[in-house]
Amino acid sequence: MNLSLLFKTIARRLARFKLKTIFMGLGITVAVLATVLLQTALMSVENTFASFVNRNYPANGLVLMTGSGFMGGATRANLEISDVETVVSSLGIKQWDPVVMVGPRDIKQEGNIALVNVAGYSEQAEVVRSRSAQEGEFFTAEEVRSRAHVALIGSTTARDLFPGGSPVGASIFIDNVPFTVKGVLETTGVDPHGGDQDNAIWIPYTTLMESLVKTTQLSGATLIIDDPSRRDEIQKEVTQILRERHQIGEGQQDDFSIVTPVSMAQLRGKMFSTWKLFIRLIAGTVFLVAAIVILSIMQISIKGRTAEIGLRKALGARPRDLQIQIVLEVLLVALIASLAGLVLAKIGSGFLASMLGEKFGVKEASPPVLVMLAAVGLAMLTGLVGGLWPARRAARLNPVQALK
Amino acid sequence: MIELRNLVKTYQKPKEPPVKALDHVSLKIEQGELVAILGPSGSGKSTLMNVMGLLDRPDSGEYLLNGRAAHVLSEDELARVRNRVIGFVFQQYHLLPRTTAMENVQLPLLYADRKDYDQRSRAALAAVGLAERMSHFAEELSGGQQQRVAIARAIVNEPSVLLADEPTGNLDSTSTREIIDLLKTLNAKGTTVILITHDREVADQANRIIRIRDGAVEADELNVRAAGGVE
Repeated sequence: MNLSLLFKTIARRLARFKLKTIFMGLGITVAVLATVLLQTALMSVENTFASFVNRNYPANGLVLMTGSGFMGGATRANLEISDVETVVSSLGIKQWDPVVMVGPRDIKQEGNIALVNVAGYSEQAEVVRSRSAQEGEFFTAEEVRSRAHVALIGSTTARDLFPGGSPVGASIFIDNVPFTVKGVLETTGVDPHGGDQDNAIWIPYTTLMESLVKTTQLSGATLIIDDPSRRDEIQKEVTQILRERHQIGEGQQDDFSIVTPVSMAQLRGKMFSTWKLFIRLIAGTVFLVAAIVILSIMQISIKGRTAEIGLRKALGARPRDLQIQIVLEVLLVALIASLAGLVLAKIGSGFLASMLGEKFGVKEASPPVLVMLAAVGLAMLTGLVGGLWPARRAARLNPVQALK
Repeated sequence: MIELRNLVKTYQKPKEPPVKALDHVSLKIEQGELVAILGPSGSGKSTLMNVMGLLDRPDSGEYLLNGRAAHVLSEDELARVRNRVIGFVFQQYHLLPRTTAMENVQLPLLYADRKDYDQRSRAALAAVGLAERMSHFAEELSGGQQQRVAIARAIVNEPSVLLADEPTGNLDSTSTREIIDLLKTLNAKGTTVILITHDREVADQANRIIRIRDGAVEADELNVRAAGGVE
């Protein structure tokens, strides 16, 4: 066969029978669009979730929480700063950061009042929790030691309390205790439960425990391990030290829990595997439908082209030539339609991202190149499946009958 | 160049007695002849044309084309011979719609693997006098013009034999004359032309007339008038 003439012939045909071409490709365009869009959305959500997890459960960290049970709180809180200090000094841990969470508190600033989550951290939080001040400065070790009345506020809180002005250097009241705003925390968006992490106030945990709630109990602490390969070992040692200090007898439950990045990754895998399966099922279904659409349109088209096929046979087309021509026709439609699907997915994911971003603080993931390639590949396969049978039928047509 | 020996082709329709479309047909056509196959409808002349054009296989008998047995060729070989050796002209022209004259003429070249398809199809259109209509769509042309495009398509691969099945059946007398003249011109240049028709007047243009009735050759004679006229 004359390949250059073949491609010209096919391209002309697709261009001249636009409506048929569009209908044939529509299924594939939708299938590619749906697959890529869903995958992008899932990846965006997963990335956002991952960045939340990585910040709260660093890859080289151990998160110690008071109380048993996954998120703590099942038993009486019992974790003192001396517990954590003993653990870090006996294990030689250099970087660590305690946390005391006290939940929403009334915040006053001149005429403005807001309800904001208040938590106490050390100066190490900036590094350990990867969140610095985007404006002003983080509080210092000296300020933590001297129980200074300084605060870092989230960007949402800053907007609420200081509409139009800079909060740095201003004073606010937390439960009527005065604090000086040292800086604004880096914006991090929404946590997986939809809570705004930028509606927060961070103060030195020492100040919080002494002047705000008068407690000796920590909510938890994050310890950074130099050698992650020793994580399991260290986890055991921490457990042993705390059980001894808390005088927990044999067979009794821990009154603390330890979360590792490994256990978080497992949880994350569990959460998203269902969604991934779901997307695969949807993709499979839409591509199947696209194949059926192509198959039926091609069948009708071939029926309408009986005389043409008979003529081509009379003029010297071998059965194979006709098959190649028809399959290439469908494959070209599939290729164009899947590229159109990718373009639409690009536009759609922009819309989706701004929607998810507004509602859930989800950041748009970079385009899923592998999934895009897979979608185009699947589209070609769909075209092949949908085009092969009609092509074989066409190739078997009897020219004498077809030309009548 | 064409030799048929005892060709038999029987059609069996359900609940009807079998019809012998070809009943032991034997004939010989030499290179360069202009032959008319004349017969009423149902005489078997279309079957004869389909078998000679390698679109259909005989049930029995032998078909020698240029000395080679054609009735034993594979499907792919048949397609190749149809493409290189035979040119078809049909009563209904069979041009593709929404396709230009030029593209219609190029159809056989798609299966011929020739690089010069543009020049060839241009030359073929020029030979039928339609060079200036090459970018018209088929449906924009008159019946006579459409049949000329079909003839250009039939000769674009320079076949040695042209099979024309009622080529003037749908045309008025002026166009009929043009088409017959065109076929005669092509014949004069050496192409064997086989004209299948039920029209005595059309058949009269040929040098030799083979009459078919009930699937058998009834008469095979030189057409003295036309033959004399040409010579």
